[in-house]
Amino acid sequence: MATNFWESSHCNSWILDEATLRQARAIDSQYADGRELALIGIFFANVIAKLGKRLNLRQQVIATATVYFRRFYIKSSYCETDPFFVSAACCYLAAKAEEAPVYLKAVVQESRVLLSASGYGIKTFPTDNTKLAEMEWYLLEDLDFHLIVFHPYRSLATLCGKLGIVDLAEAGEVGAEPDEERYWGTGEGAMNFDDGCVQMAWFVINDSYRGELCLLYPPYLIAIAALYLSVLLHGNTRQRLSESFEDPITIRRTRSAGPVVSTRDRLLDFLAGLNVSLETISRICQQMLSMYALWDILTDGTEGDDKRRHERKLPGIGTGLIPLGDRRVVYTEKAIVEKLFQMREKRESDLAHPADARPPDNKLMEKV
Amino acid sequence: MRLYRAQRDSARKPVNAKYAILGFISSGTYGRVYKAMSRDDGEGQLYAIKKFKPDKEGEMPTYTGVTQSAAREIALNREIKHENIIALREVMLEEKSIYMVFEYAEHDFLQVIHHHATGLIRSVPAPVLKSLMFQLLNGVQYLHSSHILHRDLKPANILITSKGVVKIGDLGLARLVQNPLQPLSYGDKVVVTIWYRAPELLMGARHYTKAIDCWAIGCILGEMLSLRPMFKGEEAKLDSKKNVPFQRDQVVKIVEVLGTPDPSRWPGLLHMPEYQNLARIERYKPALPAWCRGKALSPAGVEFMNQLLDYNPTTRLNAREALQHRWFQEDPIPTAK
Repeated sequence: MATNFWESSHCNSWILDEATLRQARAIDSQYADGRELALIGIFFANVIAKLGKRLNLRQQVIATATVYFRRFYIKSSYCETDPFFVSAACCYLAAKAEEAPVYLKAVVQESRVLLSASGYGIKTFPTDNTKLAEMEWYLLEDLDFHLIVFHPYRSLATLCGKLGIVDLAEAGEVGAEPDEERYWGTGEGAMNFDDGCVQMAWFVINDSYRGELCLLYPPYLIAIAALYLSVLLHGNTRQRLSESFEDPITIRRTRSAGPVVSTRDRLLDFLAGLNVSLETISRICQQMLSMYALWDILTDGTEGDDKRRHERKLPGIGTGLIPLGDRRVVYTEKAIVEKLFQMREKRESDLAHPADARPPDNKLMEKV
Repeated sequence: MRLYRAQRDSARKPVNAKYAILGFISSGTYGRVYKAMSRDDGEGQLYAIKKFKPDKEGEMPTYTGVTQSAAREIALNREIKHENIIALREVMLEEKSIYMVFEYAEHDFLQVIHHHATGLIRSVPAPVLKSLMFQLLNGVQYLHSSHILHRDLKPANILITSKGVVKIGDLGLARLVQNPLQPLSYGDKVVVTIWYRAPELLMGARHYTKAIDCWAIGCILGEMLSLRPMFKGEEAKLDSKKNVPFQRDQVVKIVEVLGTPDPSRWPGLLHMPEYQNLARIERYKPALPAWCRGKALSPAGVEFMNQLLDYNPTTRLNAREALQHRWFQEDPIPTAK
């Protein structure tokens, strides 16, 4: 069913394990270390987001394109392909799959403008539209023609009972009828969160695509983890929470009428009521935090980016709650681009001169 | 990318190596459908292979990007699985064409209609009719519960296997409607073949729902009974600016049978863009019972049809309600298949 996650191709074919992800990077890891490979992943999620912005794609389309990109690189290596080109094809196909198509021509044009800019300096993006259309085919094949992707955004809306605020507000006025069946859950355990907190969870989900979480965990778990992080990091919500941790009894006393349930108790009830493995949730949170730490050392190299790097992060970063990455080692985007070129060159030369070189294939001779 | 391309190209198996093309089935704007036999499995299983354009003779084919219609059909068919929906076996890419390999179904509703219109028995036997309608509704209910609108239900798109199992085909216009990113009317200006197009679409509504599929089912039932299209209107073509004109003739064909729509029973009507055009059409009284006279339809059946052909999309029978309608419970009950 196209709207039932449990029967979807996403659930049944594309929730992978760590070993598969490691295997997928086997060739690349001959030419780059683990940190560099993770940075490349963040880097391309950024490229896709930027290209998506230029093409006026919605966040959900950008998310789908990023998932396509990550799925594509389960079967291929960065050093044997052109990930910039693949990014563009992912945006093109995702827009189509999400019923918000863009022109092939526009994708080629915008990609060329974006990638030739100083930060990237890529001048080799093909001008020929048919080249990108051809790439779309390879992409379709490598995605096994599974185009429908589930995202944590809707789970988030369901969890917070804020379908109105989060989801539909982004979609604008739409021609869909209100649905009698819910996408996930019965809505019974929904908890009322501060709007700002929900907004932050939305941003955390956006950021989650910079790591490999979308390949490892079902979207509803990512949504829960994002919400959990936001509860801890969102100013107001955190304050209320820590107050209730300090002295739940005073809070009960200060309210006169009726039994008062503290924020902490409500949150605990809420999390327990979700009936998911909290261990898994904390693992997802850990991965999110290490992704943030890594992202922190990536810079576009312009002046003032140092300041921006702080601003784009969660407020908790660097405050002890989330440790900073080793900021003495900073990677500029330019350095990532150069690294990619190096990887490709080395790979090509290794393939041309393999260590276990054998005499040339003489099939051709046989034919003659 | 050269190495990658070479690897992928060599992994592609030609369509001809996997399937033997036995004949041509049909063609449409999307491309052509061929009957084929698998070379893989020993039993020589039959398949219908849909080959999408580009197929312009004489021109060098180039990559132009997968069409929205093909992308939809692939995306949806890869996710859904139901006995009454035609199953997609695989997708193949070759020579800049997309090949979708579907399970094969011998017949379709249109053939059943033609068969009875020209044969000795001049009506579809009631138990068979009910069985076909029940299975059709069953498939549509599955699509609707998956939040998919078919948007092109018509006899030619509803297939029947040699064992009598109904298989809904052609999801080329179908789409997911759960929280769409853009209003439905943005993407496709015109949906549903004119004879099966619901009144809210004809009235220019910008919002529409699953009810449009249910209207089409009502029209199909009418066609199975009378063996000719129930509302056979002339389609007014798009003008030079691609504006969609008011489909006056189609609307006339409908109001002749169902009567002029009554705003008290369909409150939305007054706000429809084409309301003024409708008001200019001569007034008719509802005449569905008279239309049904002489056709093999019980009073419950007339009621069933009347509810499917309800002008008001919000009160029109939905697929689930239709499956529970008493028409399916009274004698003769539908045959097993």
